Amino acid sequence: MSIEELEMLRKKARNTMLIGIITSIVIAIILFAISPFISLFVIIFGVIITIIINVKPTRNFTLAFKDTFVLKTLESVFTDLIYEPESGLDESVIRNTGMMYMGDRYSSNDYISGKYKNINFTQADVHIEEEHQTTDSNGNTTTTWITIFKGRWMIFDFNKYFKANIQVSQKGFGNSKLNNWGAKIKYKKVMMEDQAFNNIFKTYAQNEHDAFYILTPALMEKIKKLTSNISGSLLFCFIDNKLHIGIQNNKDSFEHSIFTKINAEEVTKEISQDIKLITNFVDELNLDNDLFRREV
Amino acid sequence: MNTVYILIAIAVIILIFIIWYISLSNKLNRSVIKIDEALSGIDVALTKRYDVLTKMIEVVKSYAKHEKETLFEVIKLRKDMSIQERNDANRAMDENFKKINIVAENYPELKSSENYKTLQQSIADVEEHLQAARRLYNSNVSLYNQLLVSFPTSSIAKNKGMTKKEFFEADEIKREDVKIDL
Repeated sequence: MSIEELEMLRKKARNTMLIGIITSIVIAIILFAISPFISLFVIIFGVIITIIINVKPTRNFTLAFKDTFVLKTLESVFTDLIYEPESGLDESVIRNTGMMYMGDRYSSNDYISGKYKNINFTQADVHIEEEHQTTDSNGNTTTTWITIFKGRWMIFDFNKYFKANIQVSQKGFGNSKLNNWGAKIKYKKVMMEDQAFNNIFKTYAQNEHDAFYILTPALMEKIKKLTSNISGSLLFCFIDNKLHIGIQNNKDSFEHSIFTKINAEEVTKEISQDIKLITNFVDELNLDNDLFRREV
Repeated sequence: MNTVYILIAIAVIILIFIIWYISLSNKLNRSVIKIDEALSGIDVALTKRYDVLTKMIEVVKSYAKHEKETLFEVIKLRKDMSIQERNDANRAMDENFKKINIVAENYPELKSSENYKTLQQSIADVEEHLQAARRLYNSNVSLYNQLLVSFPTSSIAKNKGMTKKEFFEADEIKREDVKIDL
C-alpha cells in the first residue's frame, strides 16, 4: 500500500473520531442549559459511541500500517519470520514460567517469531491487569483495572544448558512472583560477587551453582549495560534452556497514532528502534555464541 | 517485689543474650556449610575437567604417535584434598591443556576430527562450570572471612576455634590464549 493510501485510511479514522467527539460536545453544550446531568450523559455516551464506530476504521489503518511499514522492516532483519499483529503470546507461556504475577486480565498482540543470527526468538506486546473493586458508603461498587505489566515479553534460545531455573529482576520490577505459598519450585536468593549487580537486581535460583554458571562476570556487565540503555525495568527468567525477558515500559510497540501524520523516514526510524530492542539482546548478550550449546 | 522484677529483667537479658549468641553461632555454622557445599561443586567440576582432559590426551596420543617428547603431567585426584592440593591439580590440568593445544596445532586432521571438536566443546563447558564453582566458593569464603573479622561474630568464631579459609585461585580461562576451533 502506498503512503498516500495509508494517509487516507489514517485521515478517515481520525475524522470519524473527531466528528464523533465534536458532535457530542456541541450537543452537550446545547443541552447544558436544560440539564447539566443530561449534558454530561451525552458526552459520555457520545464518546463511547464514537469509539465503537471508530473500531473498524482504526483497525483498517493499523493493519495497513503494520503491513506496509512493520512487516517490511521486520523482513529485512529476521529470517523464518512470522508476524501476526492481532495475535499474541499465549497466557500460558508466561504463566508456566511461574515467575510472573498474572493478575486477572491478560491481553497480547504484535506476535513476532523468527530467527536473528540463527537464534530463535518469539516476542509480543503484553498487558497484564489486576481487578480492584471499591465500595463506597452507599454500597456502590466500582471496578478499576490496575496495570501489573505493560510492555514486551521476549523469549530467546539460550546458549547454555542448565538445569535450575533462575530469575534476575531489576529492583522496581515489582510484579515478578516467586516462592508463593505452596509453590512446587522453591527458589533461594543468590548474592552474586558483583555488588553493583546486586544493587540493581535481585537474583533467585533453584541452585546457586547454576546462577553462577549462567551469570558470568561478563554477562552481568552486559546486563548492567543493557539496563542503563533501556527505558523501563527488566525481568530475566532463565528457564528450560530459554531466556525470557520482560520489559516493563508501558509502551505499545509498532503502533502509530491516527492523529499523527505519517512521515515515512521517522516511522521507519521508530520501528527500527522497536526492532533493535530485540536484536540488542542477541548482540549484547552474545546469545549467538554457541560455544556451550552442545550438551555434555 | 522489686527484687523479683530485677531478677526477671536479668533473666530476660540473659535469655536475649543466649538467643543472640546462638543465632550468630548458627550464622557462622551456616557459612561453613555453604563453603563445604561450594567446595563439593569445585570437586565435581575438577573431576569432570580431569575426565575430559584424559579423553583429550587419549585422542591426541592416537593422532600424534610421534610426539613422544610431550610429557603430560600426572594428575591424581583424591577425596579430602586441601585447597592448595586442589589448586595444584587444577594448575597441572592447565598445563596439560596447553600441551594438548600445542600438539593439536601440528596435526590439522586431529583438529578437524569430530571427536576432538566435541571434546573441545566439552572442555569449554566444563571450564565454565569450574569457574562458576570457583566464584561461588570464593564468594562464600569471602563472606565467611568477613564474619571472622567483624565484631561480634569474630569473638564467637574465636571461641569456636574457627579460622580463615583459603580461596580457590583457579585462573579465569583466558580464551584469547587458547584457540578453539569449532
